[in-house]
Amino acid sequence: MPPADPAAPRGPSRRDPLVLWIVAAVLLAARIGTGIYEEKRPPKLPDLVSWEPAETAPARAAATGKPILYDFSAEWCGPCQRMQREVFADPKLSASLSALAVPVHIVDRKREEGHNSAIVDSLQRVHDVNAFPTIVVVGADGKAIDRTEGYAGAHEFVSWVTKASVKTRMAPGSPKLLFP
Amino acid sequence: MNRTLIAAFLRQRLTSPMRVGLILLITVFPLGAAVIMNSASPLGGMAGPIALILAAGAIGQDVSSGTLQLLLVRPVSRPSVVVHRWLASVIGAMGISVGTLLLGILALLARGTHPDFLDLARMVLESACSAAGSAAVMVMLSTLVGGLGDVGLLAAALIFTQLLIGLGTVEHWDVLLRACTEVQGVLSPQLSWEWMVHRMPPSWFAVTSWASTVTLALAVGIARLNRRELSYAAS
Repeated sequence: MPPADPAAPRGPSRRDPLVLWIVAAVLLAARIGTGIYEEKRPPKLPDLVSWEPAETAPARAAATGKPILYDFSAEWCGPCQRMQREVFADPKLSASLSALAVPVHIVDRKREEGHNSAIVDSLQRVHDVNAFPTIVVVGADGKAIDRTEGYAGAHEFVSWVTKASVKTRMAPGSPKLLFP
Repeated sequence: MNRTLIAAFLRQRLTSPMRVGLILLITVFPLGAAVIMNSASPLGGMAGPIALILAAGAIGQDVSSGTLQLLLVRPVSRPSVVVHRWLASVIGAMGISVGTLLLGILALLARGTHPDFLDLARMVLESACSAAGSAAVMVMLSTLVGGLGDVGLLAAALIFTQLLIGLGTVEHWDVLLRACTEVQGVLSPQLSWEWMVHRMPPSWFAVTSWASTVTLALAVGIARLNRRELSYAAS
């Protein structure tokens, strides 16, 4: 059998999906457009965690008997935004986070503003923060109990915080924690 | 819509012992986890892998075996074959995952746990999007290579991009990280419906990313099959 003539007109059984190509092209253009727009103006996500200012966190931790949970993040950090969406915007997970520790949100602004505030710089130096997100759980005595870098998922994160809080409770000399 | 094409494809897929075995593995473990954990959350995320199993080799296997050449003797167009096989994979994956979800809900209700309706609606919508996305990509890959080569192609692409993500993380190459994350998003398109639960506006980038991946994959799949020489003489 002779090979098919590539120049021969195609029958209706090989009709090109013109409408589908147009829709795909429009959606691709919209994808690029919305991508650029959302990169510059990321959609506001609800934050349901009751963050404590870094300055007052030690006093609050001493009063409640809970450890301090430092969340070191940056606006440009993708995993931090995922964590924000999956943990801090979730009513149940954010509530358990606030119940387990005194949460403190430290945002790095070096890339945006060229420098950080003195307290952010000092906390990053003390806790040796080199990547985002870095989560450090600090006991009542001010010593770091546990730390983790990166974000593996909402449940893994809350489970890690729970374990770190238990470690704090087990630490010698630590005050009795008020677990929910 | 050609129901015969959909029914025939589903019958072919669901009589394959290997596929049925894999689907059972994917559904039984989350069902058990849901009962043990007393929560419906392990039951989400099944539809994508099931769609992948059903759509694997959707075109390539039939081209290699010569079945597609016989099918196209009938008045069935090539675009119609691609679209109906994609649709059949989505319907099959949704049927199995929603069925498993219902079984899980019944088990939870029997244990006195009442799952949140909005959360269940989110899980079904996410499953539908995941199934539609995974099936579209798999059908497209299946038009590029014969047999089950599409599975190898997908696995190789995922492993390669994961390695590049590792390199980008170590070297702090943000552009490489972003590019690889986008490629992985194209290879396994998903759409989160969390915004519905939290009553906030959706991310339009996520919506257009998912929709453009599905339409592009189908368009490329159809275009590729249209240009493929399928006569017995060609082989």
